[in-house]
Amino acid sequence: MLNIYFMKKLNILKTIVDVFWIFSTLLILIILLAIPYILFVDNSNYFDIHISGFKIKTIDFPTKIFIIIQMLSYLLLIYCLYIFRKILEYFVRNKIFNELVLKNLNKMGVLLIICSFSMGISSMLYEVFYTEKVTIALGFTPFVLLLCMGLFFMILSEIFKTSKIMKEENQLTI
Amino acid sequence: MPITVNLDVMLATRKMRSKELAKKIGITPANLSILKSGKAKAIRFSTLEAICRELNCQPADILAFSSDESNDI
Repeated sequence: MLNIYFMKKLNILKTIVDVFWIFSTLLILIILLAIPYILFVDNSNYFDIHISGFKIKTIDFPTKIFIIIQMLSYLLLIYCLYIFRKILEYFVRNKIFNELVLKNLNKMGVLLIICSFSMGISSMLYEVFYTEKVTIALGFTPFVLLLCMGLFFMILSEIFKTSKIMKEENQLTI
Repeated sequence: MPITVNLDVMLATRKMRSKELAKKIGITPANLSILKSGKAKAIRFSTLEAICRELNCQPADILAFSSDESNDI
């Protein structure tokens, strides 16, 4: 049985995630329309966008690949948000130790790690080849943050698995 | 599991029904059924004490250890 304070916090979190999700669905449409546009339309003259802190002016084939990798990574991040929303729905319905929650937490962790590597490596390669400088920045870069979050969700999944076993044992103690 | 619960045998010898025992020891018939079927993972000392008191027996009369033959070889 979930207590009232837990439910209050959970509802606040779910509302924030829901609002964020609604805005993200618009972003999905924009990304899906932008990918073929970037790939097939000759837009080398009038392109001026910022992706991952880089100002992109000239569009050649490697830059197009960089932009598409970044956009696909964003799509993966949005999918992670969708999974998180589903997990929260299970929590609201008081199904905390459901098998799907464990699977979704692990899936979310794996996806976040994939995202962090695809975004981090593509950004690093772009920086090396186009700005011709290599910088080492300490602190919470999106790459490190996403990697930590991914690992955290995978650990959380394992913790939930252990908790589920303990809960079952407790229920079968007469 | 090598530990077997002989509660049904004890109930039969005492001519007592499961429901009656469950009521006397203060657990639900569903939980007593879990205990009888051997699905239980653990038993509390308080439950064991109550069962022994009501059936007038020793814990060894209810619980038995049977090792696997394959383990002995």
